[in-house]
Amino acid sequence: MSAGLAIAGLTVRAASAGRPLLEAVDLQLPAGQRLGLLGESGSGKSTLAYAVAGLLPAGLAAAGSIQLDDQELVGADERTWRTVRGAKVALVFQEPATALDPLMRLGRQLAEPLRRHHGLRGEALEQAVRQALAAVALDEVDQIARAFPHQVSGGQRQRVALAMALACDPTLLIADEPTTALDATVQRGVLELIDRLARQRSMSLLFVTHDIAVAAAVSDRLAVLRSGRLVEHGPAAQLVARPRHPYTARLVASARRFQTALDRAGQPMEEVLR
Amino acid sequence: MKPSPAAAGVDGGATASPINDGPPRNTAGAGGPGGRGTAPGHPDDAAGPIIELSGVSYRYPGQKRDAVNRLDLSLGAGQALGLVGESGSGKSTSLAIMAGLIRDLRNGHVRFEGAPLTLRSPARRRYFRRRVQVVFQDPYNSLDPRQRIGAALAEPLIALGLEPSREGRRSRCAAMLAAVGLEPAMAERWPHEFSGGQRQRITIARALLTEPRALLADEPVSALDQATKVELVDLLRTIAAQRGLALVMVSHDLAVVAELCSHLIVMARGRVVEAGATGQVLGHPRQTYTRDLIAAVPRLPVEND
Amino acid sequence: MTALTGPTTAGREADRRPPATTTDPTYATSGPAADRPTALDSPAPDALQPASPSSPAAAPADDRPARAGRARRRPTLVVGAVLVGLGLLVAVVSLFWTPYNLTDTAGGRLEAPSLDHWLGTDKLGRDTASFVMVGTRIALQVGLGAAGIAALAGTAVGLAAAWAKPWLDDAAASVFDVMLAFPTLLLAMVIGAAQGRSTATVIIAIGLAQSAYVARLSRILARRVRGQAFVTAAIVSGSSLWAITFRHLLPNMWTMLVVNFALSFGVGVLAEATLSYLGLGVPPPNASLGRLMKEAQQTVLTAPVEAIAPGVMVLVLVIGANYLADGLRELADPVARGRA
Repeated sequence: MSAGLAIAGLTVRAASAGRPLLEAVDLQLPAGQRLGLLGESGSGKSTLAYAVAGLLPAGLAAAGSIQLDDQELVGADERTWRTVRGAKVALVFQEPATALDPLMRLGRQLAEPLRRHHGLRGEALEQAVRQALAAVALDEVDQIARAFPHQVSGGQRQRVALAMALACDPTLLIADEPTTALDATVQRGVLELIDRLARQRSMSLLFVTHDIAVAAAVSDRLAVLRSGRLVEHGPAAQLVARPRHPYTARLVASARRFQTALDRAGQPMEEVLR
Repeated sequence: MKPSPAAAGVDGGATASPINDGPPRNTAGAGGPGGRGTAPGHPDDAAGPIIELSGVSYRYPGQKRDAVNRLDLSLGAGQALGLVGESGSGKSTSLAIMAGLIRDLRNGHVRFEGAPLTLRSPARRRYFRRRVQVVFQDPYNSLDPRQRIGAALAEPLIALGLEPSREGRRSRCAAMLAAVGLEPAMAERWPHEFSGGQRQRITIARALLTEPRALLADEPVSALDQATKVELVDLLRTIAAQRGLALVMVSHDLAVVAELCSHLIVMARGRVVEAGATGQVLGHPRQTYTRDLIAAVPRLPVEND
Repeated sequence: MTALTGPTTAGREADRRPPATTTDPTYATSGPAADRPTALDSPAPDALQPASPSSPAAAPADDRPARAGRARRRPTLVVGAVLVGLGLLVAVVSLFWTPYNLTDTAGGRLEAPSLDHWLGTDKLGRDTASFVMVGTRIALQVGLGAAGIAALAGTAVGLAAAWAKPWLDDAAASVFDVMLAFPTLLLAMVIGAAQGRSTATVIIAIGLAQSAYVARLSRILARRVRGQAFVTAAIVSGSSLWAITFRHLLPNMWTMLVVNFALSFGVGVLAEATLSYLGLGVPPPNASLGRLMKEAQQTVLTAPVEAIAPGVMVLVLVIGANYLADGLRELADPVARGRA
């Protein structure tokens, strides 16, 4: 049944004319696959993610086609979107704090979508909250459930945000720079978690980032956006090994440069300090 | 004064000063830029380290734990030192202490060019500000949105009385914009007209206008895209080499530090975990914490077919 | 006071829901291949990010040529400006000309409005229109004077508090809070009672009572700006606190202070009318809108216009001031501006 996500000729522009933010983008994300969407700030990568989630700000108009499981989303009304958002498409953002109510205990926040989508009540609901927290590899589940967002670390917040996104078993998870604000070791943990969850649930993943190594860590395929246009896409390893577009080549070269620096630094000292 | 073994007898920063893994527990002497782009010696290199911290502890008001705990560190002329660690490790606080932005230490001393750092006398304060400059993390936040670039650049020249004439300031700012790879005409524009990378070039230009001996950079490229990062790191390296600048770089990104710094201090929870030459620390990490940091850097996939 | 909507409202952008607009798909393939350098890129895509408090989207107001055009499309601002402008016009005219002298009792008593007496006459046969005109002038004097005193004193104290050591700042904040707990009117009454009645006393009394509001606002604004990296950068640049205050703090605060000035002008006008109504305001022989209302009170059934006219004028000034403040705030708010 599900054909996954199919974007065709997607153009997004601001009402006040000017250059489109996205221009004639074609992109396929078959069900269960994971796509890394790469681009620098201003490339339109977030616009694309928001268009798929139906969260384009007022004043931006989408044209073309976005189909999720054969359902057309461009031009869909708000009622249609409500059946899609959360249920089929879920989002995690760069700053998890924006997705969490600062005045509500994490357990209650997580209970809300579980209650709404699974009709759980009472003990069963509490059980589901605990399971959901455990599923995102949070220890001390009860303590986290009682905490307010500011009382847990950034990595834990992002895991809770992820648990909320997954509460309704979406078929597509959109992650917009979910690890950019995190420390490297924490980032690694969250990336591994997203990777594992996507596999376990055979969920499609649209992972938006500017870091090609991060994108490659959780994606089968990569797509590169620049100035609103899709300049290249293909299997992750192949795109990294043989970039065709000069811009992609530059991205790869930058990443490789830092990686080489790290590796070279890791050589015995006498070689480095020659 | 307690002479730092790392700084003693360094002649012009020709090679890395011998790193001492010896008795003083937390001491890390930053060596010269080593094999990469060696800096020409600054005229007064012989005067010893620019900034020294000995036994420095600091605790933010209302906190239960020291943000920095008994830190010893010495920054010699023309050296490039990286401070790495996760958030809350105290690396940015250490930088703020080195920059004279945090003064009420619980313990320890800060020395600047061999003498205790004091900012009470205006002349001494101006001299210190001139010699030690800072670049901040957030390029969107470190320029006043209501100040044209030219005015932002001229501010240290006016405040420190370095250039009395308006014409002189204008030409020095224009030259410095060119030096960081921007158009001199950009002085007429407003901060919001620039990308993050360009703004960071502007803040670097502002810092360089006072002809500092040391540039302290707090996560200068963390907010930038990968490709822009490379450009900025190259710029910092070139500038440090050309001007014989000592560089301190605070970052949670090991790869960036590895690319730019000859010596590393790894911090966690306010303490130094490991310190030494970059190659030594990254090649033979002795602490699990350091190993985890290295392992956490995401790597490019390798094609296996 | 609604003046605390800060300059960092960029986050709102992300909250807006799309108007589900669709255009012709064929249109998608057209358009120039704009392969521009990263410089000067449109900030729009970034505005999509759930903006952090320090978001760049809070761009400054400097595209001046476009401003006049935008102002015309802002009804609040226009209505506010027209109402306050009307009051101002009446006040200025009253300096040179009023239909009758204030001491002229030649008219009949409690006359209804006519061509001779536009707003009728009072029980002594004096011309109400002339009194309203002069009363408007006094109201504006008091409103502007009080707002000016409040702005100067409040901003100075607020800035000083923001730079002070934490304990002193806390103490100042508590003092502001205590002052705010006293109604403006009560404070003005106490000061007025202690100093004797004169127009100057009323201005100073209302101004000082208002200054606590301005001090609290400017302290918060100043602390927020002070926390920005560019202020630290200025410190590193060797700038003195004075220089930073005038070069960085005030330029990043003044839009909100101007908005607040308009608001406190309205409060001042209202306070003056109230004090005068209670017999504690500007003393006779000066005309005052509040006292006019009080005097017309006994005869309100026989000569309603005499009471209504000064009331309407107070209303015009106060509503005008509030609309003006709202309009100015919209103008200063980068998100609202971008949306025009």
